[in-house]
Amino acid sequence: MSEAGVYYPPETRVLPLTTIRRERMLPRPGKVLVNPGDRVQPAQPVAQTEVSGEVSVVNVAHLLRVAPARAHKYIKVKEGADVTMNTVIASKGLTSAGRVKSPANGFVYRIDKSTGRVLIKVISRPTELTAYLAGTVSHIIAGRGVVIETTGALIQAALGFGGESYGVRQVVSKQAADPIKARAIDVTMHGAIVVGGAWFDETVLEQAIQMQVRGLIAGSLDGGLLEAALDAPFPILLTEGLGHIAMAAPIFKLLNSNAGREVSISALTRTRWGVQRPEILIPLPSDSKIEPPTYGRPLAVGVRVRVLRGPRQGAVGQVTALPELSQQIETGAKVHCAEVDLGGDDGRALVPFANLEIFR
Amino acid sequence: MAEPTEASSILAIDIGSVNTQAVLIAPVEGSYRFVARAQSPTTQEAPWADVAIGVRHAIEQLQRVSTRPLLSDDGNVISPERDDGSGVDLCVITSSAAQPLRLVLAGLVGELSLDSLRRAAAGTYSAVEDVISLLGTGRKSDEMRAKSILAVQPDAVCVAGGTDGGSTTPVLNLVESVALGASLIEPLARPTIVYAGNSALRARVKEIVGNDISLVAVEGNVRPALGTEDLGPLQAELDALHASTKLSKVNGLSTCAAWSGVPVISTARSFGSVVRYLSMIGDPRAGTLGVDVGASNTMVGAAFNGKLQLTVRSDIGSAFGGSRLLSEVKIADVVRWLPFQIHPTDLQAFVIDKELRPLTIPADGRELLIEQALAREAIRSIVKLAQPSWRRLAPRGRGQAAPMFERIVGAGAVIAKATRPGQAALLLLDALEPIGVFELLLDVYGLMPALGAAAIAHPLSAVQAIENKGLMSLGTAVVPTGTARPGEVILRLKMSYEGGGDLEVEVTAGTLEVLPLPPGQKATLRLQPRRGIDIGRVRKSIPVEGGALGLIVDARGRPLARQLPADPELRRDQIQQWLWDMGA
Repeated sequence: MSEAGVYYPPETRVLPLTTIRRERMLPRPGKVLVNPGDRVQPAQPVAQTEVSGEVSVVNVAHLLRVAPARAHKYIKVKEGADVTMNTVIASKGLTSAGRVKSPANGFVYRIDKSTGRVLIKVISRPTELTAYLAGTVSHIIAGRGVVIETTGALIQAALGFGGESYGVRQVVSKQAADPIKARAIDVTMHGAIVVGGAWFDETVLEQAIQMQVRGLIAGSLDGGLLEAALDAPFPILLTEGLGHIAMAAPIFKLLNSNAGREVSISALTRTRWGVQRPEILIPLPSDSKIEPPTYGRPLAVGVRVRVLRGPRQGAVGQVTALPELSQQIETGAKVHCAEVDLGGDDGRALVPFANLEIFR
Repeated sequence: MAEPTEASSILAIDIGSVNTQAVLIAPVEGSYRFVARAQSPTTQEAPWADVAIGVRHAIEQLQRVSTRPLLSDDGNVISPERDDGSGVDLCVITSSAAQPLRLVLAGLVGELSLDSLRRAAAGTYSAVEDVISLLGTGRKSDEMRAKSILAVQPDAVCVAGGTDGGSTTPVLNLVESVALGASLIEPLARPTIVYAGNSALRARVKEIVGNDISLVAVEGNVRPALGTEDLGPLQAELDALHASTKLSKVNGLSTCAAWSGVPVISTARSFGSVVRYLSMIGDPRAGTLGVDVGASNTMVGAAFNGKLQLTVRSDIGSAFGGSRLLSEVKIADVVRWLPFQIHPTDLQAFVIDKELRPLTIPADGRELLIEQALAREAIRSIVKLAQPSWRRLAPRGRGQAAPMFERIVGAGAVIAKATRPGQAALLLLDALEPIGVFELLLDVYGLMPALGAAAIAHPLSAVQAIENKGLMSLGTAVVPTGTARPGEVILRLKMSYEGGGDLEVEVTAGTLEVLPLPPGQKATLRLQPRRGIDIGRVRKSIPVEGGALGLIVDARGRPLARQLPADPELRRDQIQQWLWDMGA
């Protein structure tokens, strides 16, 4: 290792075959619907819970015109009791004016004796958690969720808009550098996850909405389409980021292979405090479990890297040298750089450590 | 671990949200000096989820740079220092990697208690998610107030209202609805109620809140009287709450804390300590201003004679929060600092890309200037928030529009690692628009978090490290203001070099120039402003020292926005001219 020291860059994973495990957790305790060893499909519910509804605050003291501290004497329900709309929850005297009714179906969440208020939690809505991924239930997390396991390809993307989806993969670009064309998205794309090479424009997005695709994967997106992408009724995944950048060749190659297979995609992106990266999962049969490589690989000669910034953003190549001394870059800054063989016209280039990620 | 007071060598670690830095400070020829620094990506997030890994990476780098073994075979810091020179006597840790406190502020009147709460909250890493006002604009029903707390699920609700001996019933009503809102949340997620209102009501507030909700009754009202504000006790409680609920939850921090002889403190607090210390050097009437644009946070600390007002924005930084900044300021406000055209959507794409890849650095001059333009607006936005409270601290002179600072320190990579000194100086001058005569300093080695933390255990180390050029001087800046036509002579300046020779300059309105005064060279400055031109409270003859840039004379006028041509092409030419003038 040179004087530049050991540098541990971030990583993006593009693995043709690995073991994939995904934890599926309910937002609050509920009921798990499957058993260990069960085979599950992406749309299959694996757990369910009830999402609590709104809380209604009933100011009994105010409504009965009594002092807050005395209101509890007139309250006719107990904490935890089920109530329906118009259930009498407090009464004083025999007139209708002396009756306080529940404003909603639900249960008595709390009685605040000091303020004379009754809190009614409105009845909950059931919510289901789907498997997201075709695979086998490997673990049950009692009352909270499951772990689904499968073998297959894993591709981490850079940026996503929307949530999760699944469908048959349809590749509509011939090359990783080819922008998607609207006419390529025809009626056969209905319900599919459409994969293109480079970027796409508004007409592509409109066509994809019309054809009711279930997802769109591309290399990049023009910044001007940000709002349209956020409003799209299906998830959009970008493998490179914003701008006009071709999809990294190894990603395009992997997506192009095994055509017609079902994929699961998640566009959820979180950049800190629980980083979440968008991902493409392609379940593939395998006789053996291939564990994913461990993280923590330092930058070294021979390592495959991707350029994260600058005119060569998105280019993938191999580190050929790690110069000992800091190098002056175009901005005038002196920083540690790696010499990277990017192939083709780019050839060998010096790229700051900070602008590289390990790509494997 | 040796007693801190015996410390001779100090390892200071600052765990940021993007990078972790390790700095070695040690006595050299009887005086503390900065020896070496190293940096590595912070490993707070998955797949690492343990900051100690990144800290060890940074220390490994530091070992290589300083040729001094610092880590034992089991990966712990060697302490105390051994006879063979390995290890350190003291390890101090600061961090800005924790999430900010999510707050709801509740007060009686927007312009009084709520404004004080806002300023107190800005003194620590916090994000104000909602504001509840009992009176005036923003009024909500009892139920709506409670529901807004339920919807936000904050970490804490700060309540203020009523001067001491003043309003009672409205304050108690406010506390009731806040307590109601907190009670709607699942017990384990309930917010802490921090009460800093009418002091006489503390016992009643405790009764209302009850035992099911955590209450901090601050020893002091943020508004003890209508014209008085006392933010200190509330800020201390919020700082403690942040440390106990957020900082302590940073994965792996406890591993590093075990190496330290002093508690882990927030980077903001440490930064504030250095600014406060600097304000105690020199003229007690003049202050020190510190600005730090970090990856996730932007801070500004103004201190006068040891009294500090620190303001932190946890939602705007050089890597994270660019989108937030663009939603607050006009995109044109950022673009105005650029000598080239950029489409608004490209600027939005730029900030999103930076959030996705926070470790990355500008690859070309264009990207560098975009980052610096964003930093200018981040600073301007925090200064707007902080400036009203500086006036209470500063002894003001006649005709001064803003408090006078004799020292301005820029920190954070986007400022301190600007590739040319002129870029850093211009960034600070454009963003802060300071006036008068002051020194511009840069924290090029990222020492401010280290020194503030080291000073807690070993004050002498911080003092000496600063005095031994721990901060790089860009030079002295002279900024006259007043009404004048472009080209009109507004100031006569005579610089007499210590080694002999004078330089006399007639400064004309609208100009920006740098006069030669290299590092280490001393000179005496005599300034003769034209009538109606303000250069602050300066002596007849001002001793000045050279810096990386020289003597900066900024006669562009204030406010700068008014000096920029309306025509976009002329404006870009003007920006380019200023960059050239500063050698940037």
